[in-house]
Amino acid sequence: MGFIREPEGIYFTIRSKPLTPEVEKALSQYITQRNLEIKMNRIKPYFRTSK
Amino acid sequence: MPYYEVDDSTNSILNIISGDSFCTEVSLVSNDEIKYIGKIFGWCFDWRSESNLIDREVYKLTIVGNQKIIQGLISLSVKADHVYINFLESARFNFGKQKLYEGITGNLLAFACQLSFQRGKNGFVAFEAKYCMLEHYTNTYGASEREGHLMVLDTLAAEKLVEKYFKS
Repeated sequence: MGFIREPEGIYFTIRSKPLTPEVEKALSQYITQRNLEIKMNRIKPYFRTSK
Repeated sequence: MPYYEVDDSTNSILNIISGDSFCTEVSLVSNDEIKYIGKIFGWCFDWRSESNLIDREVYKLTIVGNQKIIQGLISLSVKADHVYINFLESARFNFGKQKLYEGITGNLLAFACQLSFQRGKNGFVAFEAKYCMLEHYTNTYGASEREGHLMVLDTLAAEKLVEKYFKS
């Protein structure tokens, strides 16, 4: 198990506002795109050699 | 640039005074506990109202074997394709120059990522960050910034965080 240090003197909180439908839509598009990119990068290239 | 400034010899939260590290666990906050999590007990956010909302799940971070002392809280909503962090807060004694434990935020973010994987959201986690923290979340946790200070942890960043905190 690890541990991540935090910068000194910063009060760590997250207080997110509810997402608006527009932001949520844009976020969904980004997630779809990133999912695809990550999936494509993980597909190993397959080379077929003919005898 | 490496994402993590990590001390591999420690566990997930570190006692600043003694230098000892402690294993942690995350669990749902019960109805009984929520009575003692309010502004008069040093918490900034209204966790009681938060826990009453239907689409919210409020979790607490505690040290293993010491469930009564809450180190930090997180409120999550599971959306269609990601987990959204509504609130995250460290206990009063864990912030400022005299904080007792370090590593609360990382633990809770890692938990949100793990939950995202468990709920089939591929590790995607989103939250809104304070302006002064944008660079920290980008450099330290691998989050990417979207419009309006919205930060997104994708599958790759989430895997690293979960690996760091939940796979010893």
